[in-house]
Amino acid sequence: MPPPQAPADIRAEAIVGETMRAFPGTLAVFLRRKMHCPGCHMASFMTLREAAASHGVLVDDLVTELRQAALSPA
Amino acid sequence: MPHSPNLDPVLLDAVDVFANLGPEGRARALDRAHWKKLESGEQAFEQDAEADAFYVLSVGRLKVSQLTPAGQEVTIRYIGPREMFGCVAVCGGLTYPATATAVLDSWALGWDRRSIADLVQDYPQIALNALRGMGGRLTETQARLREMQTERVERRIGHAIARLVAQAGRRVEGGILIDFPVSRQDIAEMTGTTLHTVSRTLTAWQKLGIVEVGRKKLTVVDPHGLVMIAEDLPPQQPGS
Repeated sequence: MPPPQAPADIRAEAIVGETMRAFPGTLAVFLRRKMHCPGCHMASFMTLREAAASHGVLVDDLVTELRQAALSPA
Repeated sequence: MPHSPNLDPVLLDAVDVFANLGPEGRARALDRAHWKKLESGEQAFEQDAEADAFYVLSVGRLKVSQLTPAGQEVTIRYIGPREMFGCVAVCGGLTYPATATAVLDSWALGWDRRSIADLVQDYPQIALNALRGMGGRLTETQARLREMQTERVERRIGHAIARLVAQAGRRVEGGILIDFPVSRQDIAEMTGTTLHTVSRTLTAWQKLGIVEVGRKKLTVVDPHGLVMIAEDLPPQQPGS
């Protein structure tokens, strides 16, 4: 799956690190959710689905919030 | 082992130490370079030998290590493609402080002391780039020093593996493979602990489904679990 370019490209199978790089505004979502993805060495390898599962978060909710954050300026 | 790669200026595009040199500078730099082929196990240079060249790794992976006066080997870091090594030849040191050994068949671009000095004279940007690279390594070294002094050994091992993932991780079915041969002894040297402790820790982590340990092969099966150990994070409540 190529790195997300538009907010709509943020899907469950997108890579966490690529999502944060493409849309820095999404960092706030991870931090608010107390997910440890920002700055994590593993973020370049994990999908949003995997990160959500690791943190006990529903992936659909996460994707929705990340898209909203990506739409607003960082 | 690939053939001796061609000296194409594009080669230096992604190398930090030659960043912002422009096509002319990169062509000049390549003009003065020579290829060094290193088979797995072969040394690029040895600790205390005269620092006569500076290198950038093109293909493969190297281990940089030091010997203590008592003869114990300590792994300082691993060097991956596009990273510089033998930097001491640029910054005026007379001898190499460490030994660089290929852990995979490797190709490096080398510049003898005179060539790199001439290039730095003409393109001071190279010195700035090298300084930035060495600053990054210093930061990493300081983090490791802090870990050694303050952290439990499990956390140190977790951090060491996380760093190896960041540098050489490859996504595979069922986890993230560290894509070069790394032994328990290597991890012991990186974390200032014993082979026995590393073996015991990795065996425990394998039972917990955090890593999968093969001969000279390490796969992180549960990256989140590893980070939880390395960062000493409390388990989370679902939905929090």
